[in-house]
Amino acid sequence: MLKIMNMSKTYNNVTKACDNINLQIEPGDIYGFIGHNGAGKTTLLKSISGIINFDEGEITIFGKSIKTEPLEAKKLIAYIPDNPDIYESLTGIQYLDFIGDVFEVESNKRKILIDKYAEMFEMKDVLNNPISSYSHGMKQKTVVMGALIHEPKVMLLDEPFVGLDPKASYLLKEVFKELCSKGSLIFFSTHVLEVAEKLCTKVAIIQKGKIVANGLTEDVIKDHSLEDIFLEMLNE
Amino acid sequence: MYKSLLRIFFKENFGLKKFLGTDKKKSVGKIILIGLLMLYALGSFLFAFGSMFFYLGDMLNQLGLIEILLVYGFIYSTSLAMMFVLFRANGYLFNYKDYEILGPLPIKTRTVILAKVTVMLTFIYLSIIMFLGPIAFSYFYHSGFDTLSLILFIVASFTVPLIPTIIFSFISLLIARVTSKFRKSNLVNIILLFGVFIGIMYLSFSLNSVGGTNPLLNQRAFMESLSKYYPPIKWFIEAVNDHNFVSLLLLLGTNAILFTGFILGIQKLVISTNQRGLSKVTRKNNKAVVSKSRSMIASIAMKESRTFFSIPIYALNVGFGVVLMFVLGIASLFFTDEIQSYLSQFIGTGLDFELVILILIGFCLTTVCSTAMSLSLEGKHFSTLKSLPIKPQTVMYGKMLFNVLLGLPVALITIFLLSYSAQIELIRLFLMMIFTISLSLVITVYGSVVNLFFPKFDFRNPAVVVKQSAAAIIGIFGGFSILVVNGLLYYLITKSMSFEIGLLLVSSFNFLIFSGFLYFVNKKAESLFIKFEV
Repeated sequence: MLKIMNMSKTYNNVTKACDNINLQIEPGDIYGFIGHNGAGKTTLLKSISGIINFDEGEITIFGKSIKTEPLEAKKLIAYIPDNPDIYESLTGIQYLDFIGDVFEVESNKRKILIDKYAEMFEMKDVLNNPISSYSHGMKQKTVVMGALIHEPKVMLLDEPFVGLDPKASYLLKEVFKELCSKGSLIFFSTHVLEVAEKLCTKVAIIQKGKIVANGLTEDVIKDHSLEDIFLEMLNE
Repeated sequence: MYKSLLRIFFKENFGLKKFLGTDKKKSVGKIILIGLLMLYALGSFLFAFGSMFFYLGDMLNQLGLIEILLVYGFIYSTSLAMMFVLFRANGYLFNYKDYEILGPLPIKTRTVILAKVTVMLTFIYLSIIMFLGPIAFSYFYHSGFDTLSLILFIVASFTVPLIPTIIFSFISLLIARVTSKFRKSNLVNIILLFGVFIGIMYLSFSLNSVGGTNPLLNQRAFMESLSKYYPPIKWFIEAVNDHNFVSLLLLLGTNAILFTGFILGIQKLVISTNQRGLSKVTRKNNKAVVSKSRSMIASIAMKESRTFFSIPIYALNVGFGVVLMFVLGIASLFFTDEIQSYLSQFIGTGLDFELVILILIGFCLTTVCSTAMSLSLEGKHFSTLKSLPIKPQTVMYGKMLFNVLLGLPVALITIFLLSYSAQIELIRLFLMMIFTISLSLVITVYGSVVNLFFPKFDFRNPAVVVKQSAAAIIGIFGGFSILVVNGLLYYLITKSMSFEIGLLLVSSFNFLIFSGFLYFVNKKAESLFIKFEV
């Protein structure tokens, strides 16, 4: 379970990017995180993944605090940033091996998973090429594969569908469902309200660093569309 | 995990493709050309530096002061480490570009730091070998070779850059921290870095002239005074020269303790500075927005100046010659007598005052070669530039215009001021200015040609382009070669003709070369731009 308790983060002692955020994401949840540009989505995702520190509150991943037990917590996480900026001098397979080494994925299992996802994302023929020769979408797929080969309990994604072709987007959604069925949880930010509405079991809307609505998707949107709710909240 | 990280970091930093900017399979010709140029550059450096220290070693040996060579080795290595760390520690340790990749991974911070420092030290050791090699050769040749001395020398040399690395990492961080508080943080950073460098230069000059007229005989006193402030230098000399194992233990022990403490102690600092680097806060600026329209070339030159001031290592590398010229020019206003007495040393040596001034200015101008790297520095934005309705030639002209404006005005003013101090005739001053203009133009366009041949758009840190790209290295060495060719030409011409005619002909030669290179840029820029893939 991912628990975010009274979490706040201020930049330069002035700009409050996240303001007393409380969220609880259960295994099996596909949790969509929606907000305008600069609302605090990336700050929250980076705080959960231990990339940046936060000023107040606590974040735990299956009971492990990202502040006090970062290594144990990170072993359960896969974080996919909005920009797939990875080591370009490596080949795809070298990158995946590096991630496999970091997460100590046993070689046989690693091979099976790499084969499975390389096949799925149509990356088999290019894994031996340097990442510098990949398109944006291919880099994104490589990062996603890196995240999947260690079967994370918590998957954090920042705008994961940007740059993916329709087929890869569809496959990623299927992977989300598969992971959740095995007890993992997915927490991702998105601007694509339609995706959130159709895919997510739960959603949260963040505005100026504060969570203004969250819960089961059908409870949040009721008989409106998510787009209506989101725009209504922005205008308030 | 350390090994895995090291493998990746080495691949990211040392690959042949990183150096060339293109795939080695596609550029066999380039590799051969670069290999030959590098061999030439390395050979001429080792020959010049090696023979200087060989003769110095001979002289010192006769005076019974051969250990002074080790002092030189120690000081060169320390200075190189200081400079490297000052430039790079911030990018390697405190604001590393792959923090967002490594941050969420379950890797111990100290493992990452150790791997990063290992890569940084590898660069330092590689540069140190270039200087220590010839010095060591001279030392062992004159003092007599024995295996134990060599082993002690190698072991002790490994410790030399460690303490400077520790100290200057913090200075580099301090500069980055202080400057980040300013709105124009990069500009303040550049000014501070220049300040530190000029400070180091001033210190080394003042130390060299400690209380004596004969610097060679005074070296022992100099070494002793230096050892008082920095004992490792004494331990190094005693360990290598006297086979003193207590000194060796002191040297190794002190460095090991300090270095381990450094790796363990900076973990929190590394994390906090990297995290701070990620936070982007858009400040509100109430200043009225003013839009200005310029010609296309002026607009590109303006963009170049913004790039120049936004990358401290670029500004420092390319702008150092400009600052030196500026300091020289200003100093000439206040130290006219000293300049005249300095220049009078050359009477009877066959070198005119004018020539000495031109060598100084020429040397500074050859380092002002932003065009050898400015195209590469477009990086991933090159595709944006390519998509705009601008002719590739215009892009290159804009870049050239910026380089000329960066170096030439200061060079001309400095020549004027120095000529005034040295009371040089007006006609000679005019010819010197013509020559300076020709040199600036030829260096500028040469840089553009080099960068068109060796572009490198794929980089994480611009320091890689400025310090490690083929274009940057060929640009600088080629610039010096142009100056040397100018000198040879002048020497041959003035055997039978006057200074004035000599300078005029050398300037004409430069204008001719400039026209040839410019014609090449005009003809080839378009076809080369199309080939570049980003």
